[in-house]
Amino acid sequence: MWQTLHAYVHAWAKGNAMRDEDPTSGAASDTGNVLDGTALGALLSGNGAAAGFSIDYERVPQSIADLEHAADYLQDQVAVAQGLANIPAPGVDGVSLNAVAQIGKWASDSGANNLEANLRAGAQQLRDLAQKLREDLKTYLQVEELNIPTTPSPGLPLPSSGQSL
Amino acid sequence: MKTRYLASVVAAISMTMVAGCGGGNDASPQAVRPSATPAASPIPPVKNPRDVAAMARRPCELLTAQQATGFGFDLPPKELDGLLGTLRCKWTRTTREQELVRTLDVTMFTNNPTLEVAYSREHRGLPFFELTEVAGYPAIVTRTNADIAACDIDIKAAERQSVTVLYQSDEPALKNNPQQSCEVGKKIAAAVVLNLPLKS
Repeated sequence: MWQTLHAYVHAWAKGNAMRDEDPTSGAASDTGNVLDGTALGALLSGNGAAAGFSIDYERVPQSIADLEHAADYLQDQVAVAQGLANIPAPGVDGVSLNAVAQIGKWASDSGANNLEANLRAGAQQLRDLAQKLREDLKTYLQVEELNIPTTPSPGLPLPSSGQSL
Repeated sequence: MKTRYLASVVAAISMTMVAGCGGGNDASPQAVRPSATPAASPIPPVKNPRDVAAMARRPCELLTAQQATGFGFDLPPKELDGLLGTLRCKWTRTTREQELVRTLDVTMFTNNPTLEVAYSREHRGLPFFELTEVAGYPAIVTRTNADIAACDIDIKAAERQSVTVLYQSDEPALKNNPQQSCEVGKKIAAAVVLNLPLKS
């Protein structure tokens, strides 16, 4: 996750010389006004730009793919959590019944403090962020459709138990 | 890989439990005493049992390619490791921009009273809970998140044998009506259970 965000932000210190020569030339001014009011625009015109950070736009599509990959991983675990909630007690003694009841409660429940709900919410938040990046990048590039990679960044892949048939 | 996978699940649960304890949630274990005379199960008996075990190692055959594309999924599906040595199958639909549109995850249990356990768990606070029939088989349909168009369907295909279908859609049309995910999910679940061979 942090690796993904790191790849997205991909901040680097820009040379002070350029800023000294022309204080208006920087990441914020590079974007023009098309990103006003967007997440990217806020980042570029806010503290990030002032501190000499910028965005490598060419890496944003890969970051979108990485975010989707991370969301997939979390969503895959939802099915495991759901199954964990429905395992039977190994015995009919009170300890066994209580253990299964507690595991089930933490695996999946109607409240917020359970694994399934948190995995779903986490996956949704990553997808929402990926979607926001898509919209902002389309605005910036002024294109109708993006070309997003189908595979995550090398080194990023999260543990996967799956195989395509 | 499997060890690593299980370890991640256990770690995640541990983290959730720790977080829950820190949050002041009432998670103190309470003694549960087995009932001397268990009440009659609310889950109706299965009339035409299906052989889940026969398909347990071939989860991706629970939908034909034609059915999968008919429900709007891409091919091929992906086979995944499930819980307790089970196998799962996942179908997805993504756009050219790699945006996930819908997901289907199917798991089978061959020695687990899934519906009985699901029914016995606390379900009063769920956004949706329904004991119903899917294609003539007892089923429990639940939604655990009111804002996400995701529906979980457990179907009892035979005694201690079940199929679990998780359907989630991120289509804009369902964002305002997430309950609709259960209507679609039930149709898919019916197709899945009818693809199981009848027990001889």
